[in-house]
Amino acid sequence: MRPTLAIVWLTWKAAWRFRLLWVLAVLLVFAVGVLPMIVRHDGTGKGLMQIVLTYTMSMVMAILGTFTLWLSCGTLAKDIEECQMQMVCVKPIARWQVWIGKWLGVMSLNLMLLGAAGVIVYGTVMYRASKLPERQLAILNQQVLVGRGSAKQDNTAIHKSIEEDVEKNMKIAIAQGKVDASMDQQSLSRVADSLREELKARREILLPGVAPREWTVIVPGAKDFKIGHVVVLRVKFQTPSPVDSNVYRTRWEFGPGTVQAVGAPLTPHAFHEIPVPVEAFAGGDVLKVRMYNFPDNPSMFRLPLEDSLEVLYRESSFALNFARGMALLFCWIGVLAAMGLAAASFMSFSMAAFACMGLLIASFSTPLLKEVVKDSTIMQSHSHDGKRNTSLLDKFAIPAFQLLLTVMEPIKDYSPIESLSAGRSITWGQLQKAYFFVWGICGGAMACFGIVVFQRKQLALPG
Amino acid sequence: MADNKPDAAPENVVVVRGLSKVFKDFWGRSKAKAVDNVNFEVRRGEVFGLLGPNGSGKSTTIKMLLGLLDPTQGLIQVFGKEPHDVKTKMRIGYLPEESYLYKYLDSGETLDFFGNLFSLSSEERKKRSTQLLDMVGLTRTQNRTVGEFSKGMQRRIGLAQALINDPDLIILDEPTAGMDPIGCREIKDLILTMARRGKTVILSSHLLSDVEDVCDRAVIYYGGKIQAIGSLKDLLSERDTIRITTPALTKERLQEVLAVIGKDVAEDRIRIDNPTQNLEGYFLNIVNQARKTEETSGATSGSQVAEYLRGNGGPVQSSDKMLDRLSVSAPVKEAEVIVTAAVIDTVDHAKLTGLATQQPAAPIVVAPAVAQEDLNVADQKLKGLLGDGGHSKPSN
Repeated sequence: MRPTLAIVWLTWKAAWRFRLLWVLAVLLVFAVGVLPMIVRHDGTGKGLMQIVLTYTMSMVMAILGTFTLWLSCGTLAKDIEECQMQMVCVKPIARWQVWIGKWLGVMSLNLMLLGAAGVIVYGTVMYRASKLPERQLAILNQQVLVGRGSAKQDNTAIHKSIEEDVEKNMKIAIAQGKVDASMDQQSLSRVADSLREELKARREILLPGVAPREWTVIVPGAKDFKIGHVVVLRVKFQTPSPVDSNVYRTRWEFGPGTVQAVGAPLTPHAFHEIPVPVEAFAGGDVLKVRMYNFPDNPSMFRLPLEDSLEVLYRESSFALNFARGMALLFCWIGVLAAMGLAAASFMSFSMAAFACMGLLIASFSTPLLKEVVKDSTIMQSHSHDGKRNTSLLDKFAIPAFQLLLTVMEPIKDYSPIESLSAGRSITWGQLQKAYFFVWGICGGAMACFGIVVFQRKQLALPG
Repeated sequence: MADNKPDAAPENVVVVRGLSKVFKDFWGRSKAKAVDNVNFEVRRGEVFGLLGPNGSGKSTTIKMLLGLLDPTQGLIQVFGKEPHDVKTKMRIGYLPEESYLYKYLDSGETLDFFGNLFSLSSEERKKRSTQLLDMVGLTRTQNRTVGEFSKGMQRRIGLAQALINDPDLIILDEPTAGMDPIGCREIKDLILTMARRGKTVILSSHLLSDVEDVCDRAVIYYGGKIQAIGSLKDLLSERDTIRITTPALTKERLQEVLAVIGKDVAEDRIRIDNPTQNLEGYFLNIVNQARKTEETSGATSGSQVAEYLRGNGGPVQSSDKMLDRLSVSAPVKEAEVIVTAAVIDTVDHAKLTGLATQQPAAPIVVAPAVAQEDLNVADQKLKGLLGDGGHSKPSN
């Protein structure tokens, strides 16, 4: 253990002697202390806090992420290039211990910096909140400065029913000769897709004045909610016009207990939060929600199955939620450190830093990558027959992008910034899953790769 | 491959068999054959020299011994284990040919860091660091970072870190490069002290005098191949020549001596001249005198070898090794006689007159004590060689 700790100490010493810590401290203080003072917001307390949290957390992540990649690439690659690693590796310390020591060194520095940045951000948020009018502060405490759990309807049964309907309708269509059974599989599948979309849309649409749309949501722990426990319905609906500025009258009923009715005028294409009385749970965990589209409303509503409605409820304090958010950031930084060290295990400092930064930028471009993978080509031009041109590079680029997406997509789900600014709870379970996936799987794979490469590296090769 | 099997002899600290190293380019094409089918072993307690011109494969061999490079072919065993074995490294100290130390650490931190890699306790690290810094003469500069050090000072701290674990095998790659003569002398003394304690030293150098002064055996490299290997006594002895050094004699006495020798040796084979002390001895003496009155901001001369490295005995003088080599036992038949040392000439009677009337050649400085001790021991050796016939290596 002592040799590994010596490597940790060395990393600290380097950061200190090269004044890296001071530069970072100044940058972080500017980002989390000064920047929130000058950013513009929508004038509401909620808007202010959301923008403060989003800006500061994003800046902290950007600064520490860049620092981590730079330092982790430099601390190993530079030592190898400048031959100091030869002096270390002839001592009784295994190379995996050197690698882990470097990682622990970078991470312990990050822990200190992240901790300091977190204290400043939390302090700033609390200070700014305390200066708000009481009414705004109350809203803030209910919607942002809180850790709210989320529950949604389980749509498995609905999807199953849709699939059954698709199958049934396809059979009928084929029997009636509306669909040619001799079509190739791809064409048949395309017909089934259109049918599926239509059947799904029927379940998502709510016409004015007809029977209400109903959801059943299981809210964990709701049976223990006391009167006054904050529970809200977060809802968004669409109308056929994407630029619809009308205000629609809606009615909401909550059960299964004493049915509570709430009338609410809402605008389409935006999220709204409607308070849910705790009495509606009637001592259980189930909440039934009914939504009515008033007959005099000029348009139908579309409420997508996946993300139109969710129940938000207070699960933890903001302080605890914030701490878990910082723990998630730390998790991310850990994988970046592993990536930097893995790259430095076989590349020069400049190449490793360049490759890691490139990968980081690529990870921010997942929508574009998704599009490329969907189109199966990187070419954006079309041939005379209207088909997309292809390129030889596609053979390499598409699998590479696919791999990157496979790795990045699950990791991206664990971003804490959005959750914190929306007052959503980052649960212990999420945190556990994030550490398992981001550290255990991704970081572990990078560490194994880096350690194996470093172990086999000939440290005294000329040039 | 059978002949590539290492000897199982326990006294072998390092065994190298059929060792080759080919450096390849990015495409895997051979770029240079740095080491070519090398075989040798280093025995416990000996000072083993790797000699050769620049680029002859000495450092590459050392780096393979340390596991920093993988052999293309062949086998290496250090303390009976392969070079990557982590536990074996507890017993090795290494000074590379250049300062590969962390430039942002000061000398105290450097020793503390390397001491930690050997899992030494805090007290032990502190104690050893203090002694080592004192030994290499860096006590006064321990708060300056290594990056600020001169090349010689970097060699000194490099040497200190190589000894922090009191190693059983010390590998020194060009240890005197960039060192002043005092430092060179101290390093040589240190090597001899370590050898006396039963430590094994591998010394790589292209400075022949370094190797000659301290090594028991040496291997000479050229073009990656071993050109010669053996004990220095075997490699360097001119067994048909002897040299006698005496205090200044009167002309008459000198003529008597020459007359006696002349009975067995032809006159043109006898050479005679004044001895001159070597430049190293002269320089050391001047600096020793100056040190008594002058201050320096650089490295001071190190004090004696660190206590924990000395073991129970004191430092030995390098002359022991040289005198050992003088003790040739082979019978001399019509040996060429060289009376005195240094500038050599055949007998010139006019010169002889001059030599006999001159004052003894010591007025410039007092001859170093080491030289006097050398002479004393030499006398003993010569007595053994000429009178008793027996000889033995000094018990160092």
